[in-house]
Amino acid sequence: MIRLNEKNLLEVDRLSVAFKTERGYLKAVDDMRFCVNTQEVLGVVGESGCGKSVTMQAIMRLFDERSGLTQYKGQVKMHGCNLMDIPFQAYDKIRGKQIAMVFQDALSALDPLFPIGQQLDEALRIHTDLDKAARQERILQLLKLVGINSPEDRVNQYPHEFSGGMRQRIMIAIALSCEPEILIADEPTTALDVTIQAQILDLLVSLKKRCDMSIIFITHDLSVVAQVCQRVIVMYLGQVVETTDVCTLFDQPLHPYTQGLLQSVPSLSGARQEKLFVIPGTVPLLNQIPEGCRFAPRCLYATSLCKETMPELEQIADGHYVRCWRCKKERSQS
Amino acid sequence: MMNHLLDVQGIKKYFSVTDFFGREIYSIKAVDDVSFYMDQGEIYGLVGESGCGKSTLGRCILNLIPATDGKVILQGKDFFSLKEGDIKKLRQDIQMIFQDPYLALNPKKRVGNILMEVLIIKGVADEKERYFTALDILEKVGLRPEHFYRFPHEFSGGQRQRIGIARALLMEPKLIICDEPVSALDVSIQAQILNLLLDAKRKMNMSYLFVTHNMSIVRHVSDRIGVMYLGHLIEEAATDDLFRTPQHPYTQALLSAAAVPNPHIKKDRIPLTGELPSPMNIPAGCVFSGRCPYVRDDCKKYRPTLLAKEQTLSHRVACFYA
Repeated sequence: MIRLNEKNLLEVDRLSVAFKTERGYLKAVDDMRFCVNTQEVLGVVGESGCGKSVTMQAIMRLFDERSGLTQYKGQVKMHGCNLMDIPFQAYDKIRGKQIAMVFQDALSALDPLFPIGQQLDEALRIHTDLDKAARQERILQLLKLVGINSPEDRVNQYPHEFSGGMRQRIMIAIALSCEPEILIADEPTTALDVTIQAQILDLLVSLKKRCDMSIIFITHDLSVVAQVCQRVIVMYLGQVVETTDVCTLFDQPLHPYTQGLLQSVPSLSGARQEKLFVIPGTVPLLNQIPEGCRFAPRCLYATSLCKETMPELEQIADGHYVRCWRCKKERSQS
Repeated sequence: MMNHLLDVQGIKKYFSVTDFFGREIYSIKAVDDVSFYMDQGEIYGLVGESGCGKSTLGRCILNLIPATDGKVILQGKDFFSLKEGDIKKLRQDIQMIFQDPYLALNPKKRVGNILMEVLIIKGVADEKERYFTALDILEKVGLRPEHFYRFPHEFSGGQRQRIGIARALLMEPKLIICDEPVSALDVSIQAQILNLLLDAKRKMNMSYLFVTHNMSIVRHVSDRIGVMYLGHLIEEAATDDLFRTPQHPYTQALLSAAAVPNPHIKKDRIPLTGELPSPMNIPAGCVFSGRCPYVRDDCKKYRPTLLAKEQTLSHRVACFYA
């Protein structure tokens, strides 16, 4: 489907994640396919409940699968090996070392009882064989890298002594401490103010270049995507509905859901609209997933085919994948 | 002065921090000397970053938290000097829509009862009339009659916000204070709620005080906008004026920092160093002097007041050099 080439760093193939509930297993993520190239920022957008965070948490194997509450299917390949085959215990070697994660709420992601220096030290202690002095030096280096002034004084402070933006910087420093190949940023700026958001976005982009890594950027904010990402995945109800590079996504979105999302955001320039475009209805619950195309009940162009059969994610143009019957038909006509 | 719907004059809200014996150690100036007015049928947007006092100001106007000083004059009546009973009556003219619609609805009550309670307070004596008015408003905000007997937890976030709006509209107020009404909602739902609010405004000639941190939303809804920073109103202008020619350095930085949903535009951001200082130690001069890229010596000594610029009287800025 999505072609493998030497640029692919991470390849996710038909990944599905299901959670056990009283009414059987609920599939939060279904048939997820995408790849991450080296040195790129890949955006993942979608509304709450579309499975963007669950996908990333599955890649990080953050769900305890030994209890049987979560079920995975499919593959996540990195350097030719399937990460999903690695035993849960052994995954500690990869988590934080090769793939690291930054969360939305830095205050709850940091431990309030330990100074930030110790929390940075923890990752280095587990993943590297540096001695204490070398680790200390690396910690100061990292704090300076993410733009924290006078790190010598601040390493011994506790998370509550930092502001929201500073905490997010510390989270990023922890994630970068072992020089990961992929950084997953899960809504890193959602809880921050606009001026601070701009600072953190600039920081992430500059760090990507300096540290030679790829970033998977999860967000629901399309304007943030436009600012930082090179390629974008749009998700709806646990599935990818459209993937393409960022300019094509904003200039020629093909999936009706993507079009709707882009139109429903009020703009900062140009004439003010009288009325915003609205996608009718709401996102259905996971136990009421429609048959056929999942977006069909809210889609303006839905036909009987859409309501009966699920479309596949297919390549419409070079690197532009869409899951929609209408787009497929239009392409075969032209 | 005469025809303004709402006149806010010199509102101050200081929260005092006391020691063990109740003696004041210092006070936090959450809102400091803010004045503005609103006309009937107008949407006034209040923007600023978190902690700038915009929500506190909204709550002070409604007297949900008593202001330290200042006056709120609604339709010629001084809101704060009224007696308890009169305040209740006047408060029917100002309603509020909260950011988190789930916290704002009583989880133990059915939606129908939540709405009918408003009508009891309003003084609708006939039970049948209450029932039908509540059903009617449900339909107006885009919910179905069967939702009448459901509990708040059975609804999605967008639907809960619709209930909150229905409750505010039932009172037929003159003014609704919307405190970040769409911040907790998804993009596609945001558009639905904004359209609903604007529809209601057009049909009922409502006025909104729209508190938000989102620049593109405030531009979409507002007629005039006030920008707040550290408890002070630092700039006020008609929406198009503000976005075309922002005068205050903070407004300029705020607008340049707002991300644009267009990958072809790479904006030159005005970099703001540092973060919002805590309201405990506000700079002595201009409140923005600590982060301002154009700061001069005067700015650190004296505090500029909100003054009209020569070209347009409605454009007011609190900056010596703007």
